[in-house]
Amino acid sequence: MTGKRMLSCIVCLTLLLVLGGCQLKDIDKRYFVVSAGFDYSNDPAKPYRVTLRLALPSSKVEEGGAMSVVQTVDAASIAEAVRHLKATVDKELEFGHCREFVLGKELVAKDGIYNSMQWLSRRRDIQSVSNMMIGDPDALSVVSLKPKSERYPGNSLFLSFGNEGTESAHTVTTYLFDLYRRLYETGLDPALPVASVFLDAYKIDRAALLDKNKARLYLDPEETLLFNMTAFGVDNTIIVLPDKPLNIVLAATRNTSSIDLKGGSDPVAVVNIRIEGFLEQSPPHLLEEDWSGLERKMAKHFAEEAERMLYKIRDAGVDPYGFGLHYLADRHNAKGSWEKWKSLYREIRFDVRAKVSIQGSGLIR
Amino acid sequence: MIEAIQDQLGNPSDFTAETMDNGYAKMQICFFPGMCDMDQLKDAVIVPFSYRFDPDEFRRMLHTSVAFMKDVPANHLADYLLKGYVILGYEGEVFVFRAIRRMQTAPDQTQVEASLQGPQSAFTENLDLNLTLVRTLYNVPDLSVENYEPGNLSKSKIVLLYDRTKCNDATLKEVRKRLENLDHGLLLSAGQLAKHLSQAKYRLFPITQLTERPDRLSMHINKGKLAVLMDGSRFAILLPVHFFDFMYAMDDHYEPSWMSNFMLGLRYISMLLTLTLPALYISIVSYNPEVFRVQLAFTIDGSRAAVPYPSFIEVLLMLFMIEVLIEASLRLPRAVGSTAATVGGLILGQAAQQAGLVSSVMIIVTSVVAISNFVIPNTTFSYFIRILKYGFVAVAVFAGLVGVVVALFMMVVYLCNMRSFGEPYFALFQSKARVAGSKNR
Repeated sequence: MTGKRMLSCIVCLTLLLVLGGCQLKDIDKRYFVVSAGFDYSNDPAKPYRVTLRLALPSSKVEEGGAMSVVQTVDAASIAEAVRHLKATVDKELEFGHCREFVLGKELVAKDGIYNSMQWLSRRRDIQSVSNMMIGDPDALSVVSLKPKSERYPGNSLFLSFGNEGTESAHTVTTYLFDLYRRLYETGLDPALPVASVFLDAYKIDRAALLDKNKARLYLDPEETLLFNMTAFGVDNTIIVLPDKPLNIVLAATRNTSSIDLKGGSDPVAVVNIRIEGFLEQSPPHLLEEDWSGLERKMAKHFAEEAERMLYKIRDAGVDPYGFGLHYLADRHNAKGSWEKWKSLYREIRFDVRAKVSIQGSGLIR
Repeated sequence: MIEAIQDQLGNPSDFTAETMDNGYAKMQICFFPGMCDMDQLKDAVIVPFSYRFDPDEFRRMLHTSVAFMKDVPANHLADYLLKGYVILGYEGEVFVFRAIRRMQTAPDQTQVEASLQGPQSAFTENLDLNLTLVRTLYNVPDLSVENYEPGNLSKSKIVLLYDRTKCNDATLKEVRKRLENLDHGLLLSAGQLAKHLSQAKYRLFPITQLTERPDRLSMHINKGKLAVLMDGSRFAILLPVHFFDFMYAMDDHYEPSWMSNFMLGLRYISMLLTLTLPALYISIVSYNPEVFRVQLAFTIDGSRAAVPYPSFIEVLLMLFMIEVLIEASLRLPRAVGSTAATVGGLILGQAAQQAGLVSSVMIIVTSVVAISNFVIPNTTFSYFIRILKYGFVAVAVFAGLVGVVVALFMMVVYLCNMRSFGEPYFALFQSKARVAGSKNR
């Protein structure tokens, strides 16, 4: 290498050192947002109250060692609020690891989810696999809770959803991409889990059913379980058959469900569901008496309960199952068929075809 | 005759030139005692000339024995002397007698390409012995051996080996041409020769392979390729080679295939790791922290809290340290080598992290990079990878993860474009059709 080239190389390498003063944002110069909440502030000029939970990282991960700070600001829009929040923190906000977005119950009731979704789906650093939920009574209380069992900030809420940590059949899991899809799909409406603070933990055992913008119906925990089983086919659930002195409980280990529309111009909405499991609680020697009779009884009871819930959902005017989408997909999409379906759906009959199969009593004789 | 030679050599003190007289006849003899095998000289020349002298027999011996060369041009005599030949002047005629002192008589132990269960013998610095080793392993009449003597200062003998029936004519012609045009001041080792043969100076990957193992060379020749041996070097040059040849250790052919396939996979993963890990560290820490799990993000964040400099300075610092360490342990005498490793690896690494100069994750990255680099079976190739790593680091500093991905893509494109003596370098499958075609030509 000639001297000149060597020199120019050295100069270039020395220039590299100056880069340290540039806008190279290392990981330690970023604040990781672990959960974000959007509330309605009741101030018409600044309707959005944005709450961010920021993680304080530590190199040691241990139970209860999670440290975080919560920042709140009111602004005219979420985007403005986040910009404003930057002025109150010393590092760059990083949404890359934010997987929990909580929408306040009041915000959903008054403003709807549409505006929040705009911001969420446009930011490039927000992951589409984020969990969406409704905060009851508000998002602030859910976001600012710091459970003692957390190993690192935001972990507890994140583990509640999907199959990450606990696999609760009461918890509806809705990802951002799915919510976005349901927001724009004709004939398929969004459903969101409802999270609230219960002692030093989160309680996520209800679901909210929305039309394209606002919440129409809040299901109670029992209905949420039925909804989760029929709409999403979640495993590891239970079916209860009331009995004296103790209820008969089937622990379902496998569960598959599908929807269908039967009949031409006057369709019947059919929900097929197959449930397999073993008896977790029953009087002794029940299975020997009438195995298939018990299966039928459980299926019938389950179908009745599910149908009651389905009619409730129908009467609320929402369609989280996607019957409408199914109707449009099945038929020639002539003009006015969507209007026709809307009038049909108001009066539609449901038929839940449940098939329960009991694998055993769980006992070895 | 003696005077002429002495004039040409400048009468050095390690040179012997005598006129021997046994009472019946006189013989002029000159040689370098240090370069000649004295026992051979005594048995073949001194004894017949002195104790058992018979003029007729002696004359007949000089004229008929294959060991004595006659009619050597006078201007080449000095060259022969310098190679360890003995020059005899008898009855007005000049004879050249081959009595080169052989330093080595047994094959070396493998040192660079160690094998667990394969042959342990390696090439030596003696060309004749090396040829013997090859002939023993590749015992077919089709093995061709061509001699080349470049007109340079060291005049080391160079030998081109190939299988006549299998080799590719185009490649053979090209290599012959390059060997004939060799002209360089001092040619000291096979590595240097390989550099001259491959011509382009700033290539990113080697297109010849150096090996010390005769079994590797035999296998290479059996595939229809060429090998170059050089006197005075215990490494053979294999050419043309493919990218994937470098990742094979000879053990792969001797071990059960489950094991060798697993090891092969391990090596490719290691190569990718050593190539990209520092760059990935920079790009993830400085550009895309959302890539890995949130736990790891927090851990790195926490461990980097004390580090004052941006990630790439941290990386360059640690890479510098590890390179210095490797170089030092290579150059140091064996006895001190382990001390260097202990001081550098244990104390420096631990202390650098505790002093807050580098993060603990960076220490792991550095060690993984260093260790996986040694997994690559070929030293030359691992050198190239070691250097290439800095290219990736530079790209990562400016362009982050996207840059690393684009650089990887460009590397693959570059590899696809490369040719090793006319053969595609990155070819996954050897073109059987072409080899067969060359046989028919």
